[in-house]
Amino acid sequence: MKDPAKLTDRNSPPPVNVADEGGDNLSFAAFIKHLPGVTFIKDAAGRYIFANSGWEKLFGRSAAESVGLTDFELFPEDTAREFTANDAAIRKTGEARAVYEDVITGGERRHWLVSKFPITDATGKVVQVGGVAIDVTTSRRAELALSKREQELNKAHERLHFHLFNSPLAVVEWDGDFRVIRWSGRAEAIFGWTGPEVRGFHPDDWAFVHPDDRESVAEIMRQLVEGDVPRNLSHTRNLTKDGCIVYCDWYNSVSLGKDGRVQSIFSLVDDVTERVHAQDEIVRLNALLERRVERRTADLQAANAELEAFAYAVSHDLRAPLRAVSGFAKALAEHTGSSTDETGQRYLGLIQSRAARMGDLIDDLLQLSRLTRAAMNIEHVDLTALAGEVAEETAQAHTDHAVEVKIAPGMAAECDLPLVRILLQNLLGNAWKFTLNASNPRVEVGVCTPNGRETYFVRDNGVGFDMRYVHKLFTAFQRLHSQAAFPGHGVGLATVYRVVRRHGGTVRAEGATNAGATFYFTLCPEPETTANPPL
Amino acid sequence: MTQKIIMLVEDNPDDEELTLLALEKNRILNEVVVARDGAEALEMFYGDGPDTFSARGTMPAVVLLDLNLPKVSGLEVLQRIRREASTRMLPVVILTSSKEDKDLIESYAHGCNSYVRKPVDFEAFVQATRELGFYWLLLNEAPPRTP
Repeated sequence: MKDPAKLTDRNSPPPVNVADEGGDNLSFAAFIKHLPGVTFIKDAAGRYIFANSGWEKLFGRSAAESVGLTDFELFPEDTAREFTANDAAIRKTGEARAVYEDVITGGERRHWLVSKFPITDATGKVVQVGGVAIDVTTSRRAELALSKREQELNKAHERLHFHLFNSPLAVVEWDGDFRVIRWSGRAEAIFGWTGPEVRGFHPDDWAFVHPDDRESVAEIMRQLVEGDVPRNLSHTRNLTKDGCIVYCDWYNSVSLGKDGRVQSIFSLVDDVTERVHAQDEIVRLNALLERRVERRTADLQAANAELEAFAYAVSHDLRAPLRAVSGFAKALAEHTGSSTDETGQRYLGLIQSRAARMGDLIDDLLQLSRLTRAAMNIEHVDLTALAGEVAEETAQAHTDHAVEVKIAPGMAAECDLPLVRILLQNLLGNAWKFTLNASNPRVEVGVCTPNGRETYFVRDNGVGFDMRYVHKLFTAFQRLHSQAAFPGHGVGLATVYRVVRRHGGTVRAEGATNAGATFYFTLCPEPETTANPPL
Repeated sequence: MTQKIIMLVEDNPDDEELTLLALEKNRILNEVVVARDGAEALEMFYGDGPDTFSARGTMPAVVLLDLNLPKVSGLEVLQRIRREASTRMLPVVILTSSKEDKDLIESYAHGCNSYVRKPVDFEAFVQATRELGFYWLLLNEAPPRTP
């Protein structure tokens, strides 16, 4: 009833002419005709026998034109089928009922609430079906929209519920008094208690928080309930139903009502027990490793100290008896004088000279052991200058033959100066020694860059060596020449090897019998390790 | 002028005999007082027996001191010599087999006047002894007697 006044206006025109209606029914017919809705009557065959003005207006054809026609002659087939089906139900049951029927008018589908009722003859047989229809499109549409939204809302809620409860994080929701109202499947899996077992419980109501963490949990809860923070995180030890400790990260947030009161607290719980255990394990292993390193370091220091003591003993105690051997042999030679024959004198001389050589050998060995122990001091070294100095010293020590020296300009390296000096002393000393019989003795110190690495070399044109024995070159006490031809101790190249290794570099030799030798070395580590002879 | 005394602190009898032999070969005929360990050396300086330097009213012109000694080490003897007023200026030559850097550094740090490594070869040893004797007994001016 939108506008009762208008309704009254419409009722005011004079009596209307209605087909087949007698004058005595005039007022009733007028009443029917001007009902705000649409009214109609169909006979047993579904033919219209009456339609009111509302009907005429709605479908744009007069009642007179429509009478005698069926729905199938008036409307599209699916519409007609719907109407007749509803009519049939009335005829069959003999009871009135209200149905929704849709009709397309003016290109628009509209909804009608149609009250259909049976009209019976004297015997009670349904002979006609009457109907009163009201346009309910607006409310029907609103209703449908509402229902659709409700469905969508339900679906969204279901999805949310599904995701929350299948989340790897447990979901626990508390009311404003911190009592459990929601307890997800994952919460059950982590803690062992089922939802029904804990619903309505406050955390203090059951053995849920580790006793040592109760205080901090109480503080976390207080902050949330009293509105200090809208959300917080707590790392808490919880107890499972079995009494086991689980380490949990609780992400809590508060939902406030319009009145500012806490409606609920929502907690997402991450079981981090494994992570905590793994971290504990890392800490434990680190401590273990540290203790091991400490022990090894102590062992190493002890071993170094022992080595030092050993070297000291060698230097001191081994030389003293040698000095006595040498000294008393000399004293004996002088003491006996002419009473010792030539052979005897030669023997005494041999004793002295071998004692002296053993003294040198001890010195060389000491130097070798010092090379290993000495602290490294890496600095920028002018190798060209250093090689020049060492060559000059070597030349002065070997006045028996002159050697032509060629040293490449501009060589420099980051290395330990004293160690590299010893290296060059050994290599140049060898070069001098082994060029003794060369017709035109020559030594060259230079640098090349195979594979982009600075590689230094010392080359001579001396007696060389047989490449078959190259693997023995750098091993202590291994010699490739007889003592008579070239005296030596077999420590020089072992010393070179150690100096190079202490710099992380590599050394190798090339040579041929009577065709000279070249020693290549680097003074810094290289990514790939090439085969080096063991020392 | 009283003859200059050489003090030899040496525990090894071989080395003692060889040193004496080397001195003899070099015709260095000064008196040699031998202490066979560090404690004996200290006794000679600071004791009150009849064989002490104070009892004799003299001090050695030079001390030839081995480092590796029983009881009291050579370094400890050197430290004591430098600490005591009566011996503070005494010329001390370390005569040892060692040429470890550590020994060199400590000896000089504690105030030795010279550091000589005993050569293994006897000829070299004789020559070293000759040069030591020449330098410390003839060339070097000893400090004045401590009052």
